[in-house]
Amino acid sequence: MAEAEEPGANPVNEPLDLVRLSLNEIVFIKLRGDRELKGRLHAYDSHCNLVLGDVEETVYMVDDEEQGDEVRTVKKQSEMLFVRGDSVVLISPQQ
Amino acid sequence: MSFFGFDTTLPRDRALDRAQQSGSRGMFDQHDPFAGLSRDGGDEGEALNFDETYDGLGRQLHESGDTFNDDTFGDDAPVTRQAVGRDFDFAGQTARVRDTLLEEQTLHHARQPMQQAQAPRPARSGYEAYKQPEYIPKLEADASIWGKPVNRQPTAAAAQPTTQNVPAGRKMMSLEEVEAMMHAQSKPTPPVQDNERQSQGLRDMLGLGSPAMPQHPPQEQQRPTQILQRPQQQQQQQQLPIQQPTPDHSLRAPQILQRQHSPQPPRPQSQDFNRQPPPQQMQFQQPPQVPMGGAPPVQPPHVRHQQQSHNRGPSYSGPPITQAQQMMQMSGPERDSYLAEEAKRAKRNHKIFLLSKNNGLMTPQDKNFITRIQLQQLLTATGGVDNEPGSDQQLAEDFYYQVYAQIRGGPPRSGPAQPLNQFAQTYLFQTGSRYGYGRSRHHPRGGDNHVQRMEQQVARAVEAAKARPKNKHLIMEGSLGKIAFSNSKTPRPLLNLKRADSEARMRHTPRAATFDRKAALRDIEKMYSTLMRLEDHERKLPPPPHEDSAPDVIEGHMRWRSQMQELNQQLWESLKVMEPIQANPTSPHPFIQILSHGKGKKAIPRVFRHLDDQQRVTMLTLIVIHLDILDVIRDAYPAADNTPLPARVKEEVELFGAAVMPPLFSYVNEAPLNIIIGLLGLALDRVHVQGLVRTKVGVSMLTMLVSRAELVRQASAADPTQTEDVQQWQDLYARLFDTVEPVLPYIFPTDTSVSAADDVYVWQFLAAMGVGATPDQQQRLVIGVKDRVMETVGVSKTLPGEMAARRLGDVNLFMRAIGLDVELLG
Repeated sequence: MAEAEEPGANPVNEPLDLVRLSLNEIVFIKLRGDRELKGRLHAYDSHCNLVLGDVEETVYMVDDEEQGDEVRTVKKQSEMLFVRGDSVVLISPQQ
Repeated sequence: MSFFGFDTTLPRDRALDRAQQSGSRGMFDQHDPFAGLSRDGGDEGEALNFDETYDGLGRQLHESGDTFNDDTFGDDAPVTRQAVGRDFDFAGQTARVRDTLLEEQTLHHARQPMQQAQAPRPARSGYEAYKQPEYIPKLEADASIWGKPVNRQPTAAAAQPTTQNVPAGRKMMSLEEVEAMMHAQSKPTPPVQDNERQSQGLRDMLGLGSPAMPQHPPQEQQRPTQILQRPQQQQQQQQLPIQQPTPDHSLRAPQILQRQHSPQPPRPQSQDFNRQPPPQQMQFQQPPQVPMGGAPPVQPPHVRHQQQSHNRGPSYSGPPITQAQQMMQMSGPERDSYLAEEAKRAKRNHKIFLLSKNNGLMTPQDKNFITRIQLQQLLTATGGVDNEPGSDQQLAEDFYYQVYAQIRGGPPRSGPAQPLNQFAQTYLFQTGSRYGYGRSRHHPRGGDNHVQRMEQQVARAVEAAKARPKNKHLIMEGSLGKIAFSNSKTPRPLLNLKRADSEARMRHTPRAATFDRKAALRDIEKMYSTLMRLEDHERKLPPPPHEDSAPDVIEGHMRWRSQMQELNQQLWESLKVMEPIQANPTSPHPFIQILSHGKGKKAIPRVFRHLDDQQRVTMLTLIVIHLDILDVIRDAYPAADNTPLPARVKEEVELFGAAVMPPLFSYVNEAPLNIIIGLLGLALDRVHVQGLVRTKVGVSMLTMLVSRAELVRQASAADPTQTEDVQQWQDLYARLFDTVEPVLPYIFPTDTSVSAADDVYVWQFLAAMGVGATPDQQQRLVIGVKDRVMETVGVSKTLPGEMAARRLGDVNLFMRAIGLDVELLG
């Protein structure tokens, strides 16, 4: 996805406006606690509280000195999720 | 020396002191009676000599309080009964005049009317009944009121304890008379009480007062108080003849708890239940008797009403069971039903018990207090009572509900929120007035002031916080630098950036694909915000002006209309429909891009409402021109190997059909023929129709146009002015037919089997084509789809009833259009 600087037909006022563009799209969220979410963004607010639909949550866990990147992942599915904003690290459109 | 300055030393010590010290003791040296002991080294082994330690202070004391000792304790003569005197022997005195007293008492009681006879008598505890040998619990006395069988025994039992109280015999008899009368009357009226019972039982559960009983207002007042307030009952009871005395109370309390125990076997349960109401009934009995002693015959039905209505509405109507014998006497089914009833009741009471275990933590005043505050906040949040529904403040509070109610066209009241406001107001007013009256003497602050007080407290806290000197930075000693405090409004600045907008704007990076997507999303959001502003503005529509309405009303309307047009213009621009169509665009037309997103499709119906006809046809034209490029068509070509379409595509197709097609359809249905002709001509010219018809959306679009054209043609068959158009249409139709004919077999969806296929749209298209077809064309149509028709008919024979009927109906759409029917095929 292109970066923030666009020729100014529709100026983006603040970073959260970019999130606005992703409404009703599949987004990828990274959360604190080594978790990631991928789902359809239905709602957000200035705290980055999110309402996501059809979410797949991935939890990354380390098992005592194991080497390697995706050591262990636990996946969970939810039909609808409300995410509290203070644990949201980043919001990105689907890769 | 002593505190008062006199010399406290013993004479011999004085001598020693003078000898040993210079004599300055100071204030703290009290006289120490044992001071001399340590000095006498030679006396170590000997016992204390009293004379040496005695300080003689006792002799200095002058007692003065002994003057009346002789009088108090008697003279030196030995204390005897006679010597002391017997003025205090009250019991003895009374015993002498006892007979006189008794006579007077009976005379007095005989003279007074009966209700005053129930004044408390001394020297009678409530427990006398227990001490009597034939004690049968009085509790069952009134159970008989509930039903027929247990008539004689309780009254006999009740009669026995009562007759044994001599002085009060007459009053007891009167009580028994009342009971007897009630028994007599209990028989004809059990059914009447059922409803009463149930409703009363429910009301009891809710803790509400009883409804108005037309007959006896005083009883009403007492009934709720009796039900809800036990202490009062206690007082009332104790004033009354103690036939149903405090033992009932003490028994009642544990029984009320018993009642809510886990379900017990039915029989003991029944005993408990019936033990339960009788004490309460007895209480009901007595207070009514007190004020209305003169009307005992009138009381019993109502008293019984009250008593029996306290039951919790069992559906087992009939005499309740108080004793095991009654169970035996009933027949089998009756017994079963009764047992079932008992079980249900037990379960329900257990549930009630569980739910109400923690009841009573808040007083009703507390609850009212909280409710009032909540209602006040509700009212103030929505801007007070004066707002009409749909006003800005109410919308700000709860937008979606308000709009939803408006759309649904709420009840014929002034609005969905208005009556709630009125309820709130009424409630506040009523509780406030009651509150104010009751507490105004003790708390000169009224009900409203609670909220005000809270607000004042908050304001004071804020002021205090402001007033406190709050440093922006904290500097600790020994540290290098300041620690900055941040809050939400002034977050900690980590970077120091300067906005460089001018440079950024000049850059046009050639990232076409992603760029377009971003731009499309931006366009969509801009369109949505314009749309929302437009809808908001529409909501503010002022009342329509008439010829003679005030000029400022007309002006307001004019202003509104001009604002509306401006917004309309903005919306139109945001849709990007008017962007020039490029010959060979690298990227799709902006509007088509908007349509490629689900949220864009969803916006179309809302947008359509605000567009005028010209704009609508322009949009439709644009869509038709770009049919090939629409994502729902481009991505929806069936795969060569008949695999089903991806779910995402199916979703988009459905969404298109549900969101975009209906408004277009509604427009087309009113469009004149020439427009239809123009559109179809464009489609045939610019769009690859043969590919188009393999998709659902494409087929639907064609169906839409063709069916409308046919309708118009048939309607204008008699109209000579339209012949040119009709002719044009005929030509176009022929062209379309020729284009579609080769691909007719491929028009059906192939991603699922015939039996599961959803092909109704194909049949609709075929029907639309068939209607306008010449016989020759019809022939060709039939040849083209004959296989499919036969297949479908065959499959529908194997399908379950409704599905088969549906499939045959779909096929029949086409068959009937060309004058045939599926039944002809067998």
